Amino acid sequence: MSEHGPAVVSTAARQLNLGAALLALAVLADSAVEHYRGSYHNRAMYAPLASASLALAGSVHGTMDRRAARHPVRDGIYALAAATGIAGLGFHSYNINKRPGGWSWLNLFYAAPIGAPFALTLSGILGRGAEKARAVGSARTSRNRGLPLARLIAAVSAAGLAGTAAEAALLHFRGAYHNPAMVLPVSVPPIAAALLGTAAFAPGRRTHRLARGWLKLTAFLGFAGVGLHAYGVSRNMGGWRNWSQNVLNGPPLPAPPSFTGLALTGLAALSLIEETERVA
Amino acid sequence: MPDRYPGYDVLAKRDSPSWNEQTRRVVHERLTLDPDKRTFFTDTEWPTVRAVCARILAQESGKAGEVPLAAMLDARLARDARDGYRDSRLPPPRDAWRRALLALDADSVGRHGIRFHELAPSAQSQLLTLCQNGELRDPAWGDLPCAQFFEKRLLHDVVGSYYAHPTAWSEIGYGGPASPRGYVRMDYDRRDPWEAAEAHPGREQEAYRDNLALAHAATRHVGHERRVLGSRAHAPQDAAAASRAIGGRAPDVFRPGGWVPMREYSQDEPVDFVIVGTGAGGGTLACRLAEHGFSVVALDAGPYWRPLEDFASDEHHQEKLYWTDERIVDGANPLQLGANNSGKSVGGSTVHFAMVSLRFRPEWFKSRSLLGYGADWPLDWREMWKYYQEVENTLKVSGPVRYPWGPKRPRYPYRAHELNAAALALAQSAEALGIDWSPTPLATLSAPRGLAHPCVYRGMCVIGCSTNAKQSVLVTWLPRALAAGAEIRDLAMVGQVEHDANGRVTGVRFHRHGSWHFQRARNVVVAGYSIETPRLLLNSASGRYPHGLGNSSGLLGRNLMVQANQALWGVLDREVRFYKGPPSLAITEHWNYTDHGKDFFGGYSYMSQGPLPMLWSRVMSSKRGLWGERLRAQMEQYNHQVGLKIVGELLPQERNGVTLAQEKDQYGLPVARVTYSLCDNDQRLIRHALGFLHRAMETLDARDIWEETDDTCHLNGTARMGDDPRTSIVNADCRSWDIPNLWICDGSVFPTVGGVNPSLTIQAIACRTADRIKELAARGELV
Repeated sequence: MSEHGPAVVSTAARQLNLGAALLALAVLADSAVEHYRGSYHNRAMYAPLASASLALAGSVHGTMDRRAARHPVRDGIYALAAATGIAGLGFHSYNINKRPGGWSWLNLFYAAPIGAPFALTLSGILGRGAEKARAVGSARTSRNRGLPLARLIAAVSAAGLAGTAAEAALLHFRGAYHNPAMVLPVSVPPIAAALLGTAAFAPGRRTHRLARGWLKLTAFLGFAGVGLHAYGVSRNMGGWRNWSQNVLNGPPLPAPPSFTGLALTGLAALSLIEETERVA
Repeated sequence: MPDRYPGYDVLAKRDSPSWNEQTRRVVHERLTLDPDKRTFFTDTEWPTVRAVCARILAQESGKAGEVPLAAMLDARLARDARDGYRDSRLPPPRDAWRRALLALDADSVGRHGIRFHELAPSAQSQLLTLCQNGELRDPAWGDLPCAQFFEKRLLHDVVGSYYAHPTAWSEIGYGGPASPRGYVRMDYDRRDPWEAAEAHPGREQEAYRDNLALAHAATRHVGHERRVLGSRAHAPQDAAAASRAIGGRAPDVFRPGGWVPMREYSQDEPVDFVIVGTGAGGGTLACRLAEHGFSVVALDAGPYWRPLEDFASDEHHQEKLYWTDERIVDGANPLQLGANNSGKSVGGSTVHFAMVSLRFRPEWFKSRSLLGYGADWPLDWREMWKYYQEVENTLKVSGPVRYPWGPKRPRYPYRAHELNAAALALAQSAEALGIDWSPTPLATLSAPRGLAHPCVYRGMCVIGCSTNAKQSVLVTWLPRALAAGAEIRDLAMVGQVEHDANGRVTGVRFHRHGSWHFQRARNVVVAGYSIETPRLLLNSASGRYPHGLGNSSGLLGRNLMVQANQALWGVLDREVRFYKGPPSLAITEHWNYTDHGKDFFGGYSYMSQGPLPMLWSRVMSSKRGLWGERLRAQMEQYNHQVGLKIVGELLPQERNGVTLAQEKDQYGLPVARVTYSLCDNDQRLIRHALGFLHRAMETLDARDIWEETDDTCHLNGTARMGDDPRTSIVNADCRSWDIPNLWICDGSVFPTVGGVNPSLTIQAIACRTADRIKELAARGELV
């Protein structure tokens, strides 16, 4: 057996923390802006800010933590983030449902965004995955309650990518795909998600290479998306000079990095899968 | 009265992104108006005018921000501003004021022995109340009806001036100017940080703090722009003063100060088509004909605006978009014209239309055969469905994914806008009543398009969109028309269509640059809308056509149809702030598509509302009769007001229509006399609608409910299309039955109006006409 094993697990775990950090950052910034737009009319609207801030801090800590052991505080923070996200789904569903029209296109476009809180849950789940990977790596076992942990992380990342792409599809549909670049986040990440899912359950080096390539492209897209959204803000009346309106009404700046976060956790999962297979 | 918006000063935002330069300029002029300045009123009249103004809206004298009402009124009369219509019982505004002031004084002297301004305020108010009730009898009134003067002239002018002033905006918590920055938070009880905070009982300090914070934040913004305040250095050349579309170029509507090349045609060489009017009919047709390869010159009496630099966030200033030249109105229900149904701009009234873009119910094209009233159209709805789609795509109409009424239609090109609180109220009430509602299909962008910005929800749609989100003819069809080689002549008023010895039209005589010219053309299209179109054709009467051109049926100018525009208004406990967002964001067409449960022919839709303060104050004063403290108290509820307003189908009647009056306009042309009376069926529709609106309003727990019973909107008819030359003016191709190279392409060709706004149908007809002309030309049938 190689000495690289623990190092690979540690690197992958820290990468998972990094992915969780990006997701938490996106949620923190997005909910701060959107809930400010919603005038914080309900005190619960502060919850994602608190929870995402904790998740971000914990994730940054984890990113720098090379020890191969689960950190109970971080783990607890992640569990809280996952729960906050689920609660957010409940609140957002309630908000949609109580408006005239109920579950209509109009409310899906403009009421509380149904998919947004789930990014916090993903941050929590994948962050917990990082902690679990550390524990598993140190114990030199590769099983998590009968399911291979690495494959589970890959599956969650793939599902997260698909879900985030669905949210982009909904909101870019709201924008009538007026710019061709708006097709990118609804085409690249779903392919990456499909390849990641395939790689998770159908072992084979070739799909891994392909999946890695598309995940890297997705990660890049998440960064580039911020730039494109910044351009989108400038396309509104008054441009950036009118930031106090256009940052709220234009495309959300913090949304695209979720793709980067999920692509990173997907890449980490692939490393873990390869390590698991190598150990086996 | 306690201050409802303590510490709120709309002027604090003057240097923030809520104000642009043109708005700063026009409001600055108002703010610096000397309250003692007068050029119209005489020494004798002046104290009376001031006393009257002080009774209509009392102000603490010498207080900062006092609205110089008398001086504003004087300025209005000095430039002889008109409304676009004049009740035949009243003389023009200047005469009306002079005579009424004299008579008011005479009444005062007769009753009290002293002049009006010498009376105690309470006695003054009593006298004004008598005037309002039509009970002043001094012989000095002569044939001037004092009640009509009070309602249509005095209140209209004085109250409108007050609510055009920033002091009044601050008083009622109105957001004021809003461009480039509009609004974000549209729901009930939500305000943007740059909006007024309302004092709630026991929490006045909180509102005061918020309003001061607003002022503080605003002054930190772009302070450097203060130096241009009031400077005329950057003022664009006035589009209304001199033609812009000359010298081989026309204004670029997407760039401040920009130009686009424009082809020009000689007046002596006949062009294929000369088009009179560049609105929904003429502008659309000019584009499509030029794209089909015809040579086209389109003339418009109005200026060629660049919305980004010419449009201020100001109701008063933007009256420049309306057709305010005089028209005489009479009949049992004299119409109000000018603002909401006529435009004098390149792009026509679409420059200030409310953007509501609805398709006709298919059955309406055969309402005589299928529904038993009105007249059949010579058009098939399936063909119109195709042209509706073409127009919706051209305007990138923002609409719902699925429309609840009528046959299947394709998805709207852009998504529907978010609803404001006023629209949510309509939606809630519709759901409570168990009927369908929908976001209104609107021709304003919900996402960027080319150089045009998406809507910023500033709510000033009917005074001209300075964002360019509104997809008017000015920013959609006309740039395409220019690119395809059409020439557009602005500030060009057409006076006559001329014809040769064979009876074929040869071109149009038009007034531009201070003199009359003649443009030769192989075909003439008249597209001046339902008043100017018959006016021009009637005024073109000749020995050969003594009753006007194309009028062998005798129906030219007849069958004028407006639409019922009654409303129900109420006050909610929650903040609505209906000045935000397009005014009509939600609609129900339930009574357009439901035929049972009606005691009338026709249908109506109704929409949510959002009138701006000047218009709203005129409704509250002229129509509801409020003035003084009662008006103030009502206006303070502005941010809590909701309204539901119908667009109802009124029937064509031959007695309603347009004739020529004796009076002449500034071009020396006879003005139009517009006669209108409702019929029994119309009255039944209105009663039904108001009854239903009461049920809707009840579901909202609104209080202070008030019926607006007499408003109308849109103009149609007067040159109807049909299958029979004896009963119509033009055929399905908008071609005159009498003169084969004369065409009419605007709302005047409608045989019936339906219960929806007409602009989409006018544009669809224009697209169809262009295609038909192309076919006819290809078959050699144009000559």
